[in-house]
Amino acid sequence: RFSQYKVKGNVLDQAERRKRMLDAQKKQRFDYLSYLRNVAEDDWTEDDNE
Amino acid sequence: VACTELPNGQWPDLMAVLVQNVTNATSTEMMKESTLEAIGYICQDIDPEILQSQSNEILTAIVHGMKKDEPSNHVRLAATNALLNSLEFTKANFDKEQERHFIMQVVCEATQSVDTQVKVAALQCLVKIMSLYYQYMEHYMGPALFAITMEAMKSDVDEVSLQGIEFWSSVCDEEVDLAIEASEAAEQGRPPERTSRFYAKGALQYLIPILTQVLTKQEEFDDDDDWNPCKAAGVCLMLMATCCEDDVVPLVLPFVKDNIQSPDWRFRDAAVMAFGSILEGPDPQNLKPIVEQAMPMLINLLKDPSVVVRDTAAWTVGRVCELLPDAVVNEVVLKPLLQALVEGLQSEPRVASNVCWAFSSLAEAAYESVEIPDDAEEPDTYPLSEYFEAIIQRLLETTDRNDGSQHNLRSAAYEALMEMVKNSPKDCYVTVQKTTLVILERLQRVLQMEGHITSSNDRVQYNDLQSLLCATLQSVLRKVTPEDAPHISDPIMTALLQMLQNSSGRAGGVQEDVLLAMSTLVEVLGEQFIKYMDAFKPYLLVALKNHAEYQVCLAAVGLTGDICRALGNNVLAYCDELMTVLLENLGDTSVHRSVKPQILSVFGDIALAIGPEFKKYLDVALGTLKQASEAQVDKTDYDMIDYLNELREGCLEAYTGIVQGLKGDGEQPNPDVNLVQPHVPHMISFIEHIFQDEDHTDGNIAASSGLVGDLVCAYGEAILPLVDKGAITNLLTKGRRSKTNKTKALSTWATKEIRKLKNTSS
Repeated sequence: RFSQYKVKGNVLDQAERRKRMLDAQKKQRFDYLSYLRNVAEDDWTEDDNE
Repeated sequence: VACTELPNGQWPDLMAVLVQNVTNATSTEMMKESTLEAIGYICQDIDPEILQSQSNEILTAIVHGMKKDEPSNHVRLAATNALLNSLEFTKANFDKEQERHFIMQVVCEATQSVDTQVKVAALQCLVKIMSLYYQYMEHYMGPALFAITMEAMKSDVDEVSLQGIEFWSSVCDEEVDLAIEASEAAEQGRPPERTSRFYAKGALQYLIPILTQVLTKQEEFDDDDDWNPCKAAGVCLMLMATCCEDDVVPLVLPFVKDNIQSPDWRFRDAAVMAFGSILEGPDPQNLKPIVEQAMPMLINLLKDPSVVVRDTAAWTVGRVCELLPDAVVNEVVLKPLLQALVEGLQSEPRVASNVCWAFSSLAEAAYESVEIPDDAEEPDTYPLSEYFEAIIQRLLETTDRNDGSQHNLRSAAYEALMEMVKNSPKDCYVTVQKTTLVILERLQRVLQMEGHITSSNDRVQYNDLQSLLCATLQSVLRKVTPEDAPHISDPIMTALLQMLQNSSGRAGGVQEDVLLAMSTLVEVLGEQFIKYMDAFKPYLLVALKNHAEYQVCLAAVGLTGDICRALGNNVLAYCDELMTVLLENLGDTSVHRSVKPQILSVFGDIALAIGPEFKKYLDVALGTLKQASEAQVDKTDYDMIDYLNELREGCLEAYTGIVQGLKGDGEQPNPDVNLVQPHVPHMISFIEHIFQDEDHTDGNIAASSGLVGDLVCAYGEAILPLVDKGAITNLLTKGRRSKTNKTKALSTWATKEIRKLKNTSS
């Protein structure tokens, strides 16, 4: 409970910053592959019955 | 001794002896007390499963000692504490109505003891029973628990009052969880397993007056580490708002209005605290006009004569900026608010720290309030632009305050600075440039301090400062234009290398942050980073071999991937050494397991970067991947399930990188890709295996779909029979129905590639 008193919400501590960096690296890898595969992220408009 | 022997099946008659000690009419008070204490300690430390079969006997002894006709308060207290520790493994007894009634009766009676300690321990039992056995409480709530806990909340004895408040905080926690469960169940079209009885909503009108009253019991010079009913009431009110949402507002607002201008600081503070506590939960649309109306008053309270009130006002403003930014990012409020906040930065550390948090939230909200033109990455301007330079200046001054170590002020100020820079539009770029130079200068200055550190406290602060400067450097570097980056990269690189050298072997945290900053520099410089590679390589290898501080190793692995993406084929000259270390790490049991999936992914990055040159590593890489893809874990351990999924994602990313890399990006696949073809059946059966594992993640589906598509593009018709079948079709269907765009996109793409192939072959 103590940690909930006057808690500050969206504070990014070092641990969170580090985690975000790892997520960003994953995203960069994905973006590069999407470029190679010629896939755009909004390219999923087709319906499901195929 | 019991905790060592019982799990090994030794000392089987111990519990029977202890129970006998308590229930035996001739036992002395001392004997009963000591025995109950022993039972309590055993229950506290032992794995609950070990005692489950003896829960009846243990409960008999405990309840015997707790009864109201027990003359000794010492015995009653020891018994009540023992009950508190045994609640986890007495589920079978709670499941039986008669036994449950009896336990509840004894606990409720103990809450009425005149002995404070017994009373507090019994109330603690009620708190724990409420969270463990919520579903059984209906029978007791109205007739007993409600009255007992209300009375406790009003008590002048802090320990008693705290437990009364804690009971209702637990009710809120439980009911918020139940609400989440209910909405998840509704989404999946099934009834929830357990349902809320909405006790908090029902009791709200009685609880709020007590809680607001307790809020006025602040201590004048309270220690930050003290926990008291006033603080507990603040937290409870916050939980009430989350749990009961809009219902809270009309019950709390009259108290706020009546007291926010009270001549007594305690009442002003309680009013602001109450207001700040209900900002999350109720519908933001309902709160917005109320907050707009309150803002002038809150801004004034930032200058209140009482530091307690200033602190609570700054916290409340911080919450408004985070939760309801629309209420302040407008022409009426923004200017006076910013003026007050800038002044607030000079207030006491606790106040200033909250102000920094408000700036962090405001920066993000202001940035999100403007549209980014279609052809641009960032907006031209935003509502904070005209104040931007002044705010940055004041935040920089705040990071330098002598009292910055109090209340996390220095980190809060740096964090605000990072958010301001991150969320800055084009017309603030000049200030970003200046800030970059300030940060660089500070990095250089801090490095000169290295030799002058004597105490361990100084060392901690020094390391924290380096970490913060690296983090800030990342945020400014991200904003620097590709034209500007090469002009500042030399001194930045020099400083970062020096930090790696200084911190080697004694400050893993700093090393990690330096490597993360390096990642950003690599990203910004792209292939121009090559000129630093010879100087940097020795440090990179050391970091990759840092098994003791696995986070350093992890950051170094990630950075290796970044370097591959940035340098492309130019990384070739370094690959032998990098591959050697990475492979050694995979085979080394002293390397933390969380690093290993990332290493596999980096194999993919290397293959993508050097293309056909990866041939020389192919055998060893594919052998390693086969082994990793066959890994099994203990499925009862959630952490291990997560780990297995990460490991599998790493394998999939590696396979993808290798196939894509060898295939090349020409019209026709490079024939080198055929070297991998013998491994394709294994890859497909690996993907099928992942899909059949019910614990697979959406990320697994995405990476699997991607690999299926890559294989189809690389090998065409030859592998059609492998992918055009049940499990793979089902996997792609699941992927196309995913809520994640990435997964949807990849599964749709792979499906199309298979269809294209089928059309041409038929």
